Amino acid sequence: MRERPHESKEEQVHALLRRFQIPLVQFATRITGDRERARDIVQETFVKFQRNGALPKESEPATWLFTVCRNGALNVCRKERRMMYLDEELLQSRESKQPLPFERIEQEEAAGFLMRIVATLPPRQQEVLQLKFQNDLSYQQIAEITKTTANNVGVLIHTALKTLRQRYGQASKDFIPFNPRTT
Amino acid sequence: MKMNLDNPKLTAFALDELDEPERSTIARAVAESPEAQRFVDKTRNLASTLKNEFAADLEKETLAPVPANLIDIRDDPWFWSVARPLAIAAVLALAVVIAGVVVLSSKHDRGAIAQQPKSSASDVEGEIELPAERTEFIQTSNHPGENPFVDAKRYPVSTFPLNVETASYSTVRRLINSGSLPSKEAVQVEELVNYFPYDYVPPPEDKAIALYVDLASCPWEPSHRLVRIALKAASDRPIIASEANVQVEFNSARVASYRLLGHERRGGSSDLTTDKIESAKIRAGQTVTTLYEVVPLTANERSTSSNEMLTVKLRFKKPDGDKSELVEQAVTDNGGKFANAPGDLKFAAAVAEFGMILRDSEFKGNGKLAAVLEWAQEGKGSDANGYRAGFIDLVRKAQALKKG
Repeated sequence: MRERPHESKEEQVHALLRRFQIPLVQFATRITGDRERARDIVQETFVKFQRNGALPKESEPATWLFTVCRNGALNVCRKERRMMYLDEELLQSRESKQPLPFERIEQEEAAGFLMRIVATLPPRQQEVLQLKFQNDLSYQQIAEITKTTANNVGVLIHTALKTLRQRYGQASKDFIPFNPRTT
Repeated sequence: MKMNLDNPKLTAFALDELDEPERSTIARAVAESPEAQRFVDKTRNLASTLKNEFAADLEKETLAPVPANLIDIRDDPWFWSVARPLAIAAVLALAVVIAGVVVLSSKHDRGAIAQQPKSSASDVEGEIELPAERTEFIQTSNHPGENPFVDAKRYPVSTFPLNVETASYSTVRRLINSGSLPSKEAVQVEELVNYFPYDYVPPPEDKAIALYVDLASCPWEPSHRLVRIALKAASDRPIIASEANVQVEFNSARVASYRLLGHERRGGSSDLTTDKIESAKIRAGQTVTTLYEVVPLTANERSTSSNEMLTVKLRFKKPDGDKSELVEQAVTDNGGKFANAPGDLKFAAAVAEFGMILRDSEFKGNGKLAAVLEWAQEGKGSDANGYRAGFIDLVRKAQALKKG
């Protein structure tokens, strides 16, 4: 989503809003655990984006938006002291949701099944999964946003996929192909 | 050739994240290992499923349309420099204050309730007798399917089931998410209320079951009182208490009438008319939350100076004993306001009123969905698992459906 020269700032902001507003809200919700706050944070992020005359050189709007949104979310957590984690280390150690009891998973439509399992991963892994698979960002971009190295992003994604495979297999008992369309 | 599959580089290769020359190196190794090929295929399949699911997750989200004012006011320097930071600061400050009040009041709440567990066989036998003509009285309700207010003088004792389903909430959620409001019958107030986890402290080590009662003014009918009775069984010990039942004795010197919220499923109120008290099993970790709406007597009508409003008696047998145990708690009404109630009580009230509005209950009082939202937000607490945020979302959707 590179800035096209003929696009006015206003058009660009609207296009970015359409594309990233919801992903950003989901992203911030994962961090704050509060959808209402997340919406405020995302609105703030776009306000900041608009006030910025231009993005720093080489900076992609997506990377910029997710970085600012993430900082905003962590700031809110710090200020409100509502969350356990007040800094980066704590973000890593934050407890993830308990795996859901099987009967509850059963109630949910099969479509959301894998996402339910995603919600049981450590937040740090959920975060990189969302950036990678929902927003199609590269390891390098994700590393910039989450302030780590591309190598470490690779480890997080590898570990997350491994756990997903295990839990998915366990919960569905019989093996269900990951992508139903390939069967 | 055998290859270590537990390797982030292999995952990165499958996801096209490697640069040359690393990519070519791994590609050659993968070509020589059928195992590694399968791993790469599986990883790509999983990645593609994840992409689909994350995309589907986006579609589920309903957000207010792109705020137009973001654009319109951008050139106003005053707005940027003053108004927005102030507004944000105010919201943050308010949030901190609310959080503080909730913490304080819930602490206060726990301290104030005196729990008096007793164990005595003589307590159990033949103490409570329900009046025989109760059936006739209750059936005069002109609103079939809903529990009416019950005269406390004639019928001072009430009971409620200890095992509550929660399926109604899933049904209601599914219907609202798919764009339709549920039918009356689909909405079971007590199932909605019990779907949510509440912050009940587990019983102390030597007790099997803890009882919590709190009350405040009833938010949809401020002249009434709202009572929450909660029970929590210990979860870390083998507990299956049997023959458990609960009785709520209202003090008719203080209470004019009362109404049990929800529990309407089994053919209206007829169930509560029997003087047979239901016995149930209580499993480890089980919690039950029940709400009563109470009409207090006015100061002139009262025949007592005591503030004692009701007594809750819970009886059960432990798995290893044949003696019945009694946990008893008397509750006084100190006139607490809903605004100062613990967060959990506020949230449970919000859920109950949501149910009553969906059922278009005769007893929904003056509550509106906007008020439900307000109470739910005030009572949201830390919401570690996001259930309450989901409820708030659902109320918004219901609001939109009602308007539409």
